Amino acid sequence: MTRFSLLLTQSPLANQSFASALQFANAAVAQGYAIEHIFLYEDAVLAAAAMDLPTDEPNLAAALAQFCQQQRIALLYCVTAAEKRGVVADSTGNYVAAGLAEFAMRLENTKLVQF
Amino acid sequence: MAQIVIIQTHSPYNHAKARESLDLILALAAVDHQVCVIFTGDAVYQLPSVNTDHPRPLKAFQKSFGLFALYEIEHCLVCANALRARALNEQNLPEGFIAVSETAIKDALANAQHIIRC
Repeated sequence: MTRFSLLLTQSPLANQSFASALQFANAAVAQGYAIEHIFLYEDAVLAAAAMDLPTDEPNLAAALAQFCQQQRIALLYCVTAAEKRGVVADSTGNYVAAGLAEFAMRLENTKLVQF
Repeated sequence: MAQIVIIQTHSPYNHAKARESLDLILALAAVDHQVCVIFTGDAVYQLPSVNTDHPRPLKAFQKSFGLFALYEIEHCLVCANALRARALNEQNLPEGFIAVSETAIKDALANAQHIIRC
């Protein structure tokens, strides 16, 4: 059975990439595929920060974190990219700090899909 | 070890993408993945040599292209059409970088296990 790695590189606030990734991950899990990990790089690391959005705005970062927690999928963000943007991770621990080397190692025997 | 192609599409300074894709390339190569880098579109503006004698607010990250050989990154392909469209010279590429046709780029993509667009 195929195992997927997902790479997100775009802001959770500026476009549909998080929504697309979440939709893909839901469909993959529903079909019995495994998601090995989800890695946030570049502007996607903004999702790891504490966010206080207007109530009528979808909080895609929180939705992704909830999904990964339910499915026990590793949800990692690049700590270097976060530091460069001044991002301090929220206190929930849903997003786990990691290095690019961990992303590189986790690619083994998976199919990578980028959003 | 996987064969990974990184497609660079952004110019050097108006996004963080060029710098961060360089970090990603080196990290992938450091854990023994076989990495091929393709420069196309405005990413070819990353390749002319940068004058670092004058103080400047932006980091001349392109110096790190010199590390590619150390990391055994042997395939650095530059889209010849993209260079031509921007009046850039094929002869002044960093060492080990070669200008290639779009067909060669398609072949590299066809042989990749993973493709990351930066």
